[in-house]
Amino acid sequence: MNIIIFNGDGLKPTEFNTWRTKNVEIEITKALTET
Amino acid sequence: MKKIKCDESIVLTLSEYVDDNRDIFVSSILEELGIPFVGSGSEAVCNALLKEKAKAFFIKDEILTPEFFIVSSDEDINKGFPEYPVVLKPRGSGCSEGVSIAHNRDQFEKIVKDLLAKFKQPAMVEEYVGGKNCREYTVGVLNNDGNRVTTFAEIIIPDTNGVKLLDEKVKNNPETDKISEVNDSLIKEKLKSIALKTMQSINGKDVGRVDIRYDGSNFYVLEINLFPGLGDDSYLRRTLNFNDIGFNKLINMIVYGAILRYKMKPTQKMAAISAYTQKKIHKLSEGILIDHSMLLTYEKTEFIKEEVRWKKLRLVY
Repeated sequence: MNIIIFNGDGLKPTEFNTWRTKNVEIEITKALTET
Repeated sequence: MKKIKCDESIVLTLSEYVDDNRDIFVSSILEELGIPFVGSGSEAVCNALLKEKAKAFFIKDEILTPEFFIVSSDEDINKGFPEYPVVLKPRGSGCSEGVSIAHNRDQFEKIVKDLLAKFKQPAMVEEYVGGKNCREYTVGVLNNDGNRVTTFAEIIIPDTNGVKLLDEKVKNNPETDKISEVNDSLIKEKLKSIALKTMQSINGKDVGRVDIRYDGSNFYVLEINLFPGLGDDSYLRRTLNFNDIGFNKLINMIVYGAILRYKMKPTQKMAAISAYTQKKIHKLSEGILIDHSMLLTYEKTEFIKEEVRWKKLRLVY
């Protein structure tokens, strides 16, 4: 069982209303790796 | 070295859209590829985002929501409500973008023209839910081992000449951006029941946030957000403080909910890997080799985007 964090690199998506902001991305990765 | 295939994996996407056009959701690409993912499907996200579509679901399921109509051009202005004030907002925007109030016909006409010009999309005109005792609430809906969990907060909106409106000015000013805990158990029960019904109505999965307005007698659902902000200052995150749920717990609740939904079996220690950054993959998943052919590459996505557009899963403003 793996969780793939799709951060959207390469797709040039807008950052509007996403979870992609740098801090949130770091926090989410941390939350999953620490579990 | 273990090779990962996507049928052993679930994707947590941090991006809502595939590009700056904001018309194709990442979830619609994952659906096309048959890859399991965390959160709601593209149709639900689209329905939630387009405010009048969401309201059609609410009305069908007898969820109270303010009356409304859509203005697409200057000619539609004559559809005006008999009673002011009315709330105006862009049809498909979030974060209180463009939310305004009109107290009379002149203001109404001016705001409609400004919104149409600025946001390049139709505007929604909505009945103002007010009254002396009006309150606004935000309710987080999460999964916990397959059960829905709700978190609550009241949004404290300053009274300006007898009107309480959560617009960008109020939201972006630390002096006025305030929430408080909901302590009344009867109110909490009512909010919970409405939020769960709303989530179900729109077919939302794993995580959502429902905004509800109370006029002293009735509760009205304003909207639902299926991709709610998770930053420090986001409402969902701030409601957790009143419910003793930390950020790690929140993320794990969301992801575990999705894993159970797909009837997958989570291992005790799940590997978090990044789909794109090779360095991160090595760092976070020692001994694991990712089958890149199974993941979303830029070229692959470009191709599928066209397919998705043809299938009309895209968001049309």
